[in-house]
Amino acid sequence: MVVIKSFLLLIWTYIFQTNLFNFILVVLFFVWAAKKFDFKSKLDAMHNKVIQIIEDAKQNKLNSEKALADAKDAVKNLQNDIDKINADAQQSAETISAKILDDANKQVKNIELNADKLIAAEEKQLVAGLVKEISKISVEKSKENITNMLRDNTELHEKYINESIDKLDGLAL
Amino acid sequence: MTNSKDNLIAKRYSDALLSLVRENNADVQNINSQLKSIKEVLVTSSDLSSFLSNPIISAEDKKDVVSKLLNDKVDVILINFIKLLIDKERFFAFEEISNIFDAEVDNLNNIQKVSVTSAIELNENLKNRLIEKLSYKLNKNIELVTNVDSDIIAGLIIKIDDNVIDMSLKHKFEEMKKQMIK
Repeated sequence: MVVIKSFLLLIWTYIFQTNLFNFILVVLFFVWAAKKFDFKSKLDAMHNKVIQIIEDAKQNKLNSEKALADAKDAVKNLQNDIDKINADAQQSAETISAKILDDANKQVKNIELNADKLIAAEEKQLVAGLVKEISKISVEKSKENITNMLRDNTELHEKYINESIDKLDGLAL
Repeated sequence: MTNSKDNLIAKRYSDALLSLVRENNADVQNINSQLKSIKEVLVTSSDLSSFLSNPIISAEDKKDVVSKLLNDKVDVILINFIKLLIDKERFFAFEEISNIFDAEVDNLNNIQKVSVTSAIELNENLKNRLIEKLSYKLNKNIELVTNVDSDIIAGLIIKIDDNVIDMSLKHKFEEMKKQMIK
């Protein structure tokens, strides 16, 4: 019994005098901590996440390669397209220029024509106005002359009166 | 006398006067002449006209003045007729009644009044020629009313009722001007 006790004491002393006990305690702590914080599942999640990142990167790479291929296709005929656009633009510009020039010429001709017409109308109106004025003056002058002639000329008055009486023949009374 | 109602009133009174004259075998021409004289007096004497038309003055006073003014000067038929107009408050229509009566008398006598305007006084020769022509054209006896207006320059303006025949030189010049302005 004493021997057993001594043995146990020896072992106990050994344990305390070496790092074994500390080591066991540390292991136990890690076991406890692993259980407590579920390191495994977290590590699995991290592992999965890293895998997902890698997969995404691969997919991105594929997408980028595809985009690059599309871009290459797109720019393959770019020069031709640019040339065509330039040619079309040139054609349109020439057509529009020709039309503008044509319209301008027509407008100028119209303006000239209208101006001629306007001048002709103005001339006509002026002439008509002058004719009217001259006619009015002529009538006034004739009236004045006849009035002067009639002054103290009873015979002439009687002539007009007799003419008026004669005119009654042709009138319905 | 402006509206047709007043004209109608004047026409009725004129017809009544004409009937009265005929019933009494009075001289229509004489009555018409006296009627025209009274009208002229009323036109020239606005005081008398205002007095007889004034609604404030009594009919008796008006009739008394009429009697004093017209007794022994005009036919009694006419005096009574004027008194009737005063009683019926129709004296305002006197002038128009006179005009209508005159026209009716003319019509009875187949007379057509013609107003003639000339630049100089018409001599007898011209008047006779004009009367002869108008009488032939209208088949009526012509009563010429002459006016002188130097503004017409020369020629004649003849007015028969509402029909105006302008044969003046002034009118001719105006027509010429209108033609030229067109």
